[in-house]
Amino acid sequence: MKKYITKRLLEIIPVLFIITFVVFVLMYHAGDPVAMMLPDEASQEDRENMREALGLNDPFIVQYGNFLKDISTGNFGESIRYNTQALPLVIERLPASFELAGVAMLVAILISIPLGIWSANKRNTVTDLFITGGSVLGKAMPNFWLGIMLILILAVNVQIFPVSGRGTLVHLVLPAITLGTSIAAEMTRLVRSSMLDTLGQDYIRTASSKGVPYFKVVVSHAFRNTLIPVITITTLQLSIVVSGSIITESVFQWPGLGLLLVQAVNARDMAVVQAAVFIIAILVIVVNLITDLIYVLIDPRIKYS
Amino acid sequence: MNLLEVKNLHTHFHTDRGLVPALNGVSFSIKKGEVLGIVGESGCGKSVTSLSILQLLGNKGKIEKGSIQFKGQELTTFTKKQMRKVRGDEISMIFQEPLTSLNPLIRVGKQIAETILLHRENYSKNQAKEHAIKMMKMVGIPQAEEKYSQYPHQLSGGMRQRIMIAIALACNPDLLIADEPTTALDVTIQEQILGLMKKIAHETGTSIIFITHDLGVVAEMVDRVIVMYSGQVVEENDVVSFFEAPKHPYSQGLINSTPAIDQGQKLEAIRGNVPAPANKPNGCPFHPRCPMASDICKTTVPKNTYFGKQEMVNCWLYDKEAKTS
Amino acid sequence: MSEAAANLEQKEKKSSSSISNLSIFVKLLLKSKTGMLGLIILLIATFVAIFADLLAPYDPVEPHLSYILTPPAWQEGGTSQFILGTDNLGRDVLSRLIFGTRVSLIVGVLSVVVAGAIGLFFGVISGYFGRWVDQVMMRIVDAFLSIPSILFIMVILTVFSPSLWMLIIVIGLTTWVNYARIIRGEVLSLKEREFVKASQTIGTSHWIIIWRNLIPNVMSTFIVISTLSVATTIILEASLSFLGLGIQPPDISWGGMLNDGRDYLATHWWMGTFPGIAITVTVLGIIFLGDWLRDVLDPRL
Repeated sequence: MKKYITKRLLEIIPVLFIITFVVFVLMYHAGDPVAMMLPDEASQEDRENMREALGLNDPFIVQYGNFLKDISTGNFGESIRYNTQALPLVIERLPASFELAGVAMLVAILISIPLGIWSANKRNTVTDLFITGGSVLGKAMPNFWLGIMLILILAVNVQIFPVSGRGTLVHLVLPAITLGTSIAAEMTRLVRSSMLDTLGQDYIRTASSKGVPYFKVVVSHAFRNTLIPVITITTLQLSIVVSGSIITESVFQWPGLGLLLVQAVNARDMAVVQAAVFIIAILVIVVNLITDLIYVLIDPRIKYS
Repeated sequence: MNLLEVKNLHTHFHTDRGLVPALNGVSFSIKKGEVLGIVGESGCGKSVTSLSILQLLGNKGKIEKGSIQFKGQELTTFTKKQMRKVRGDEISMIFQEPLTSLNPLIRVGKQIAETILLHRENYSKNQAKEHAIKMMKMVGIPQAEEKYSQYPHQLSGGMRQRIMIAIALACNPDLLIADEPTTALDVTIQEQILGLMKKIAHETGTSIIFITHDLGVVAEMVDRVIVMYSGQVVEENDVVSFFEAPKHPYSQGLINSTPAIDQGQKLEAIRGNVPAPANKPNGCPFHPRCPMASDICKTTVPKNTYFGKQEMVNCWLYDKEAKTS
Repeated sequence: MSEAAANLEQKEKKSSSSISNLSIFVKLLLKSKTGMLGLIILLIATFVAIFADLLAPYDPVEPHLSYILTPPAWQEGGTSQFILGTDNLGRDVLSRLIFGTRVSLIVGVLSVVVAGAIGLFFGVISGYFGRWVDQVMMRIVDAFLSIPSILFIMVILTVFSPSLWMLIIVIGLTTWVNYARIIRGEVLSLKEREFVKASQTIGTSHWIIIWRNLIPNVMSTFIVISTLSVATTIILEASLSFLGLGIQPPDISWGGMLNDGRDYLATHWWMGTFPGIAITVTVLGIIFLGDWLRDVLDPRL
C-alpha cells in the first residue's frame, strides 16, 4: 500500500513537469516583460541591464531551470493587478472555492445516485424517460446560462436569493444548484448505465434465487458494484467540476479561485494565472489519488502492492 | 405424489425485437429424492425452464400459460412475496459460472449466511455464521472458518462452486436446480463436484434437476432424462433405456455425437443448428435436421406418444395414426 | 495465403461496418424519433449557418440607436421590426442569433476535426506499436487527462489573443486525449484479431495495415466520439466566449452575446434567454444524433 502511494506520488512528477513546461514555453513566447515593467522613456541600455538582471538573456534551458527553482519555493512572481505575491492570492481564494465545489458535489451526489438507480430499475418506463431526458437536457444546457436563468427567475423576478457574492448560506444556494446540476447531469447517466450493467450480472440473479427481496438486492448487492465504474470516471468528472466552478464563480461573482483565474487571464496577469493553474492541477491530481485509494475500500479485488 | 409437476408451460420473452416464444408447452414431473436430467443443445429452453420454475425471468420474460405445481401448490399464482419464501428455502439453484454468480464484493461466508438469515428468522447472526461454516464443511471446503471471510476472487473455481452449492443447500431445500454446474470447471474438478452432488442427493434426499448438455454427466448422475428441443420436451425416458434405446431421432443424434471409449463407432454430428425461437420451422421443429423426416413432419406438429407411465416421445415415427394413415 | 488474408479482411469489414449499408442505416434512422429529431435540428442549424446573410433581417452589428433594449414583438413595448427584441446597443437579437449559429458550428466542427486527427493518430500509433512507444505516448495522455483542458486553454489564451482560428486550434490541441485513449483501446483488441495477424504474417507493411485494416475498423467508434464531441465543444466555445476569452467582438457568437450585456441579462430577459435556448437546442440535437449513432454503430465505449 505504501509502495503504491509512493509510486503514484512519483507519477505526479512527469505530469507537473509537462504543466510547468507548457506554462513556461507560453510565457517565453509571451513577449518582453521588460517592456511592461519599464516606462516608455527608458533607454536601450536600461532595458538591456534589466534583461540581464532578470536573466532574460540566459539560454532557454537555464531560464526554465530558474523558473522551476522559483516555483518550487512557491515564488510565482508578483501580480501586476494586486502588486503582491501571486501564490498567497491564490491560496486565499481556496476556502470559497472548496465551499462551493463541495456543496455542489453533495447536491450532485444527492440528485444523481438516487435518480440513476431509480431510472435503471424502471428501465423503459415514463419515469426512466423523464430522468434520462432530464440528464440529457442538463448536459445540453451550458451551466453559465442555467446560472443566468436562475438569477433571472429566483433573484430578479422573485427576489428570494441574492444575485451574486458570498457571505450567508442563501448566497450559496443558486451557485450550488448551478454547478451541482451540471455535475449531476453527467453523473446520473453514469449511475444509470452502471446500475443497468450491474443488474444484468449473474450474481444479481443468484441473490434473487436465494429469495433476497428486490429492494435489498439493489441496495446490498448492486449498489457497491455500481459505484466502482462511477468512481473510475471521477477523473473525467473532475474536469467538469473544475470548468464548471470557473464558470459558475464567474456568473455569480463568487470570490473563489475560478473567478480570480478568469480575471487574471483577462488582465494578462501572468503570475496569478500560473499560480492558479498550478494549484488547481495539484488539487486535481490529489483528488485523483484519493479516489484511487477509495477504490481499495470498496473493491477487495484490488490490492495495491 | 410428485414433488414438482410442470404442465404445458409456455414462457415468452417480449424483447425490443419482438416476441420470443422460448417455451411451448413443456411438461414434466419429478418425485421426491429423484434426480432428473434435462438435456439438449444450447438454446433449447433448458435454462428458461428452470428460471420459469423460480420465476426469475426478468422484466421481459413471462409465463404465458401452464401450471407449475410444487408440493401441491400452484406456483404460478404465488405473489412475489410468497415466491421469495420459496426461493432459496424450498427450491434453490446453482448456476453455471461460479465466478460471476458470486457477488465479488461480499465475503463468501456472508453470502451463505445471508440465505440462512433470510429464511430462518429465529437465527441470530452468530448462529447463521456457525451454520454457514457447517455448510462449508459439508461441501468439502477445507479451513472453512478461514475461508468464511474470503472474497470469491481468492478462491479457486472448484471452491467457488462448492460455495454456490453451500448457498443452495443452506436451508435444506426440497428441490435443487443445477444449471450446467460443472461446465465451466476443469475435468478433474468436475468429477469432484459431481461426486459431491451425488453424495448430497443420497444423504439429504433432496430432489435434483440437473441441466446439462453433457451426456457423460447424465449417465453418471441422473435417474431419468427429458430431452428438450426448441422449447419442447421431445423425449422422456429412464436413463438406462435412454442410452440403450433412444427413441427420438434427436436423442439418437445426441448420443451418436458423444464420444464413448468402449465403442469404436464413428462420431456423427447432428447437421444444422437449433432454430432461433423467433423463427421456428412449421411442423416438427426438428424436421430440417432430422434424417428420418417425412412429409407430415414438415407440415404438422407431432403429438406425444406414451409408452407406460414414464416414457414419452414426441415424434411422428411413433404415432400410430401417422403409421396407419 | 494472401488471398485467405484478403478474404478474412473482407469478412471482417462486412460484419463490422454497418455504415456501408446505407439503406438499413436510413431505415433505422427513420425508426428512431430522437435520432431523427437530432438530424433535423442539425440540418436546420447548418442551413441557417450557411445562408445567414440571406436569412438575417438586419446587419447583426448595426446598432439601432432609437431601439435600444426593445423587448420581443409579443411583449409590451416590442415592435414587429425586431421579433426577438434588441440588445443594449440596439442590435437585432434575431440577426445576431442567426449569425452566431455560424460561429458555433464552425468552431464545434473544426475543433473536433483537429482534435480527432491528433487523437486518431496518437491512439492508432500507440495501440499498434505498443512497447515503449505506447508507454511514452500514454504518459503524455495521462498528463493531459489529469489536467482539465479548460486550464490549458486559459493559459494559452492569456498569451495569445483569442480569435476564431486561435480558438479552433487551441480547443483542438487540448481535447484530443479522449480520442487517443478510446481509439488505443480499440486498436489493442483489433490487432489481436485474425485479419490483422494474417496481414502481418504475409509481411504487409505496418502503414498499410494501419491504413487498410485498423483505421476503417475504428471508424464507427471515431464517428460516435466525434459527434458527441461537437456538442461538448460548442458548449466549451460558448463558455469561453461568455468569459470573454473566446470569440471577440465584432465577431458574433452565442456565448459572446451573453457576455456582451452581462449587466443587462437579468433585467432584460430576452437578451439572455434566446442565445441560451439556441445553444441548448443545437447541443441537444447533436447529443440525440450522437446517442443514436452509438446505438446503431454499437462501438464498445
